Amino acid sequence: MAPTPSRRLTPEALTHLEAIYREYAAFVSRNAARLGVAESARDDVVHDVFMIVAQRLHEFEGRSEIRTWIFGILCNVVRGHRRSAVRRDRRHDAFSHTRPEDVSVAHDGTVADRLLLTELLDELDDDRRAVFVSAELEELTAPEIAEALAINVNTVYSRLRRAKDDLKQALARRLASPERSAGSNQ
Amino acid sequence: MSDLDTRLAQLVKAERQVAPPSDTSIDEGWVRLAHALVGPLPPGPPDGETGGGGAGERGANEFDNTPTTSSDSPRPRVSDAAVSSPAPVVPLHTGPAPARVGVWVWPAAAIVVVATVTVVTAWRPWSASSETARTEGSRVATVPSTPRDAVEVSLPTTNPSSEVPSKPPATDPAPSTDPRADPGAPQATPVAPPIEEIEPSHAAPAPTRRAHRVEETTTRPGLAEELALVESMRSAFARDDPAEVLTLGKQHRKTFPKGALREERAALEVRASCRLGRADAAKRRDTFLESWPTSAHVERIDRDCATK
Repeated sequence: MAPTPSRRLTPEALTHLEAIYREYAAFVSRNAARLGVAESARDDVVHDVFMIVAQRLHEFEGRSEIRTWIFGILCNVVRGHRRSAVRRDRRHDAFSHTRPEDVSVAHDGTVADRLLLTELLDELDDDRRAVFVSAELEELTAPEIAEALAINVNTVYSRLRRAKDDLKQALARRLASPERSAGSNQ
Repeated sequence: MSDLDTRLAQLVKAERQVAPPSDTSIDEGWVRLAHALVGPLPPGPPDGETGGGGAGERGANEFDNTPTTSSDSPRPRVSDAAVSSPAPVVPLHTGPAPARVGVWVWPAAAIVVVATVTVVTAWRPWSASSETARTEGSRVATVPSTPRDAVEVSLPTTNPSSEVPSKPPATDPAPSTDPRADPGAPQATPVAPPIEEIEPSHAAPAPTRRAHRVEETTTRPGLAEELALVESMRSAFARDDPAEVLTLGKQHRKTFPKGALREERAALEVRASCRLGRADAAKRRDTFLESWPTSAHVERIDRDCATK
């Protein structure tokens, strides 16, 4: 269910929100994809995230980066979406919705690598996936991740280590079974 | 490092190179978000009240070239559209704070006014003469000072009396998406302007003549309608229906001759014209570049028009 919009916006808040949206919409969109949100639902997730940002912006403490704060919101929004139903379409989405700018880098196998990583990430549980995405792909620090996900820093390290182990195992399985490695480099 | 580590590092590196979404998709997303947040804003005063200075209605093949937004922003931003005003607008009534409004007795006429027009108006630039007219026509007065101060923007409600609190609401605005969707602690010092729940305006009761005028304003198209129309244009463009884009563009030009999203409309019209291979496409493009030389749409226009 989409968040209920605030009934009143100060003009300053709206201006501030627009700046935040333009700065972080891409960040939210790409990480929604990495967290398993299908292309067809991604715009809705981005919308929901920023609806929450709009409602909570005045509560943002400023102790952490706003990017970290938004990432935490994103993780919670993604949990609210039924991922199981959309995962079925993701592999198709990955190709059918490839943007022109993606195609431009496809010559060196980047798109294939991204698709493979998406498939591997789908095999992670949600908690490890969120830590891996934030740490390895967005390069957030462990304290930032702990803040965003409301977990202990040691838990961050633990989940990251296990996520890497899981990914390597999944990768090994795919390398051992080439027919499953649809997205791997040829 | 094992082969698996190396391969995983390659995958991570490839993923980090993900291209950002296009400006168009971000614009569309913001329009949608602003639409959801601002809602069906009542419109500003009729054109006759805006005084001189506007570009006014032009021919169907011309572009309005009077920028709607501040001169330091080459692109009209939705927030500008919602809030910008050359002069700050303050409520006429400067007495008790909204938190004390609940003890007031609200005449029915005032409730009607609260329900329909706390918005103020000025999401388009106003001339000095328009401010006087606006003061006459609504419950706000303008003070010639720096812009963007104290502009009040709120939504109409169908049942204002039920939303009149005796004090500012302290309810948790947590979204229903997920109860855990609040990673930020709430006791922090605000670092951004707050977004508040709707509050009643505490204007004096409006005379019947003014109330009638207010009701009239609610029937005129406003920002929400303009956003919806431009969204329709974008959708038509996205499904490769440039003829529909031009049709909707004409409708926008007629309905919102000084609309806040004229630049977006004009850009879509240029691109649609190029896609159709129309003879006037080059003229449209030149007019657009003359009006908005630093527009973020220029690159896309050049791309679309260069391929035709």
